[in-house]
Amino acid sequence: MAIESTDNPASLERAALSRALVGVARQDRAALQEVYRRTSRKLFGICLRIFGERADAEDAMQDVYITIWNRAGSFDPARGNPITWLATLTRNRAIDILRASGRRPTAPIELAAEVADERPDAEAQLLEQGEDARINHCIEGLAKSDAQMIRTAFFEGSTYADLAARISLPLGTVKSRIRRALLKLRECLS
Amino acid sequence: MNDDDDLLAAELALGLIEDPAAASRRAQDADFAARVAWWEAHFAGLAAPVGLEPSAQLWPRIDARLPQNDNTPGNVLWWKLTSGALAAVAAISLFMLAQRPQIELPPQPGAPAVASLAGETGSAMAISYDSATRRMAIAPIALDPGKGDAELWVIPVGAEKAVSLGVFDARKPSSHQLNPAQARLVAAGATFAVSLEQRGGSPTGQHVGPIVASGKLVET
Repeated sequence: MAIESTDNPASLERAALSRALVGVARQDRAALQEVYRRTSRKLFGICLRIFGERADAEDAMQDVYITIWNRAGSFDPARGNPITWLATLTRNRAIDILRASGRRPTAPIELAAEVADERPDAEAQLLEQGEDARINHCIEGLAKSDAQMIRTAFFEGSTYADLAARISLPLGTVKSRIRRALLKLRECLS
Repeated sequence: MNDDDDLLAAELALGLIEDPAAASRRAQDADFAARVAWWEAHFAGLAAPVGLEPSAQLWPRIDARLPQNDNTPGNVLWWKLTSGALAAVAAISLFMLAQRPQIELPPQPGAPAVASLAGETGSAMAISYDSATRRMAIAPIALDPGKGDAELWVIPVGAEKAVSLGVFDARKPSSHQLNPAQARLVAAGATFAVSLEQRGGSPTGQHVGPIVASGKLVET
């Protein structure tokens, strides 16, 4: 991870968030409110993307912040980026809820054409700093259909088997395409 | 780390595979765990804000689910819960007495066993169980199953696995007749737990949703 300069607003934000999480680990509710104030927009974006509907996303958000309350002690400020930790926890918790509710998405997926002829991805225009930018830049470098499969796995909790069924491609084909795309992604991210 | 291992780490981070072996490798192999975390950190960046905010009522709803500062001895909520649970148990006991058929002789052991269930998120419930009649009364005190169902589990004394006793109405007190097989599991010292599951309960035989309250059954 790059060395952070202390006057960079993003790293100040991280430091404040790390401090707040340490407070949450001590079961300080004002600290959780601080975490909420700083992160609810971003984490809501994840839940909304996963559930596609405000009411479900807000129900999941309740669960997410209760999980943060219970697990803040396992966040290590010396080693981790708090925003990454929170986003990963949120995504994983939301996918768990989605799966437990028996609503794992099954709608067919039509893979995008390989040619990059669409408008620029809205997500790429809403970038934040640092790592966020890297993954979004690197994923744009993949074939559109591969990027689409990886995004679907991330946002809809689809496994290889789910994807194969939804795309109507053999499991082996989906696996080898995604694995090739992941190696390409790693090369770009490293 | 070779490509296959690193791809496995990526697949686990992305949820492409549901492989218990890979998940347990993450718990045991620090290098592998670091690679999963590396991928997770990058994938987390896919989640860009959508420019929408949650409603203003969301924080108060979360705040209401937090426990009071449970490091403080004698804090208010604990007392409220405890006295609430005791009142509920007393009410259940009266209810059970009233429910007994008039002709039948009252069963020998007088006092039912009770359990007071509570959890970190403020959920609370009381259970009263009479082994002579195998009747169980459930009084939810603070329990919100959302759009799903609350499911009751028992972990018998000395056992590790929870056994489902079924879903129950989380909104009002209810009374249940246990069958003999269930009754063998429910004895003083057994632990009850409540999980929040999808409608109709967990399809797997073990809880899928979070455990929101638990407590031991004790003789009165």
